[in-house]
Amino acid sequence: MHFELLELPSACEALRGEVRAFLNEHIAERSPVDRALSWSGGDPEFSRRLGARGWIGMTWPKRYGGGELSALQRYTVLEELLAAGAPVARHWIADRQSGPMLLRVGSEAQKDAILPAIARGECYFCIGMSEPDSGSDLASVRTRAEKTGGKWVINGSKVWTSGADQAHYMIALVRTGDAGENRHGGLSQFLLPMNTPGVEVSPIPSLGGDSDFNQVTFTDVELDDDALLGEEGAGWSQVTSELALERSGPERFLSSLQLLIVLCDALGPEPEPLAKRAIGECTAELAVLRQMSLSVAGMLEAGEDPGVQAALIKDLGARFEQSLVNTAQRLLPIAPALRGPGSDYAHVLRRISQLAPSYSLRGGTREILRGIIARGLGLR
Amino acid sequence: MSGHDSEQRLLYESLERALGPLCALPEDPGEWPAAAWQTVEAHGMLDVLAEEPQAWPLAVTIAAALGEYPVPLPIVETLLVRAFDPDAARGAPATLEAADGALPWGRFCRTALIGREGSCARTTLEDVQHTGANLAGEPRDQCRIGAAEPLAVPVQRLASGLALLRAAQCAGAMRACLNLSRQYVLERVQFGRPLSRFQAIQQQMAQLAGACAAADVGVQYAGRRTRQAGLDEAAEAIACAATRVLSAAAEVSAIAHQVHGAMGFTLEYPLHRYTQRLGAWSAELNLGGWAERLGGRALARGGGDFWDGIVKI
Ligand SMILES: Cc1cc2nc3c(=O)[nH]c(=O)nc-3n(C[C@H](O)[C@H](O)[C@H](O)COP(=O)(O)OP(=O)(O)OC[C@H]3O[C@@H](n4cnc5c(N)ncnc54)[C@H](O)[C@@H]3O)c2cc1C
Repeated sequence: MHFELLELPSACEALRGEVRAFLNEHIAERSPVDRALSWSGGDPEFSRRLGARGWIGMTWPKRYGGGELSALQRYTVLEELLAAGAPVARHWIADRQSGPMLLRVGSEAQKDAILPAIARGECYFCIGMSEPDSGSDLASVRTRAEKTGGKWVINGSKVWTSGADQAHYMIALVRTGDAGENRHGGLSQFLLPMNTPGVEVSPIPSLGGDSDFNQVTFTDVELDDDALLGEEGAGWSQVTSELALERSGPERFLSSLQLLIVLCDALGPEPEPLAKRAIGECTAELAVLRQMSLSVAGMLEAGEDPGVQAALIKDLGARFEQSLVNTAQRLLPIAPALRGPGSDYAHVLRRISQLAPSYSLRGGTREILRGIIARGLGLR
Repeated sequence: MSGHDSEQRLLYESLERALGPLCALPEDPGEWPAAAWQTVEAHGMLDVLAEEPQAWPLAVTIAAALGEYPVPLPIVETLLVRAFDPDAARGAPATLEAADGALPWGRFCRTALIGREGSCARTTLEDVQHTGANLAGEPRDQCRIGAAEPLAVPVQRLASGLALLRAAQCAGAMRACLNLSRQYVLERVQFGRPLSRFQAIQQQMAQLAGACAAADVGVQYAGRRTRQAGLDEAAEAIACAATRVLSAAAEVSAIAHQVHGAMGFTLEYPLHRYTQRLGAWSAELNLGGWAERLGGRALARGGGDFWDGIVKI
């Protein structure tokens, strides 16, 4: 399980300054409790501005609206956006995984039609993997696409779909044939416009507050042949590489940073030694996770497959973030209130307390990630 | 170790060859094992910092190898003394005051670096007052101190150097725990199958691997920062490494023992050599107060600059 250290080139430090200036200009007024939504907080106007600045689809070819910049430059922008709690939710999934999937396996027509709009911050995606009866066991999905008269007809449903109510497209994993012996056959991915007749989105209220996830049902949804993404029957290997993109970024340990920030301010510069020690432990954990994550960014840039390393960081990151609520409560006990007046600390603590259980679920549960790591160790 | 970098790998292999056979030395040898020391001197590992003051990543690699191959000799100590004291004698071991005030292997050393009014001083060790040992049985002695000659080195710098290499030793010992545990769960059969087939074991092994990787990255990063910026400027990176290593060591030790069952509790099986060293070295790191210092700095900067602090570590 090797992590090669990576150094951000000096160009990234100049870029970091530009991102901070941009954020100062555009989100200086954003409240701590809104910042604490992290990448599940969204604002279409912010996404558009970020796109206009060239910070969406940064690594993609220019002919598709990208910037042909390096993965490390992109990493720098991402970590600054996350650290500031910028409202990135609308374009986040499209930039992180859907756009890159289109680049990898999409047709020329699909790429031409969609990538430039993503890069402008105007086209959003949602992830159509989980279903009511298929969570961790993703290969068991039952939503079906049948080919009838030159059209694909889709029936079934997806669930827990973040941002489905706002998205323009879903990349949906569906069954197009028999599973075969290894259970991974007969799956395909579709590029599914959310405004297609027969697609119905119902929000599911959650602990995530403003950023609900949804149930999406498909009733005789008709798609043209060109809605197939990649190859028919190659859905499993495609979705596996999509998951690697989904798991590898710094959002897997930076989504509760706002809690640490308000906690430091609330503790003041000279708290008791035990408080200093606890903040020091959080600092060390974050700084090391950041180096591990940079290392993964370097592997991605070099065309390697850091699937196991990414799972490892996501697991460590989730555990760290989940421990923060307890750390905060220990150092500065207040009762987080759902409503009513309160300090920034009280509000952020409330929000992070509510979001924390999702960290070890979304994007692959702790148990599934540890299974991947154990396989990397040759134990299964 | 750093598998991709072939130079590093060659170095690590040469360390494995040199250190492996010396691990069989008793922790408390009674008499100075002169022949073993000769092997160590001949390899050149003791002089890497004396010859190339920026070679901290190399020193980290050596210390990590000493965690994985825990030769009971004052190698890390001598390496550091030669780094800080240009006049240190070659051919002989030397030691320095550890965070708990003890002198590792003091009974075999003629000179030591100690702290005097915030600076380092070179002293001669006149005679041994108490012989002691840490949790792992490594000698930790008290000696009568002779004349002290001050060196132009702040004592904090020495403490940083020692913490960095102790943390690296811990990272190496954790690697050994991971390797032993991996082998053991693949071979030990219960309920008709290897332990590695049980999901509860797999999940613990994944956690163990995570802690090892974090410790390793922490010390590697601190080594690189020290090469670039020197020990004083890299103090926060070293504090991060020491702090992260502490929490990882506790987790690794607990899991490694758990998956080994009673076998790991025996003195015959080698696991204890690593876990007891992790305990001893952690205690030493803990006394350094690295986490408090790190947190103190972050709190002094305030929440608004917390992230910038992380980026600049
Ligand atoms: C906030 C949030 C947003 C989400 N957004 C999306 C989205 O946009 N798109 C999408 O497709 N999905 C989304 N998900 C769903 C997420 O991917 C699933 O929750 C996850 O894959 C787990 O599936 P499940 O919830 O059905 O739990 P289950 O798979 O039923 O698991 C329940 C528990 O059993 C454990 N378990 C299951 N199988 C095993 C096993 N083999 N061994 C050991 N333990 C096991 C799990 O680890 C977990 O602890 C989201 C989830 C959350 C919480």
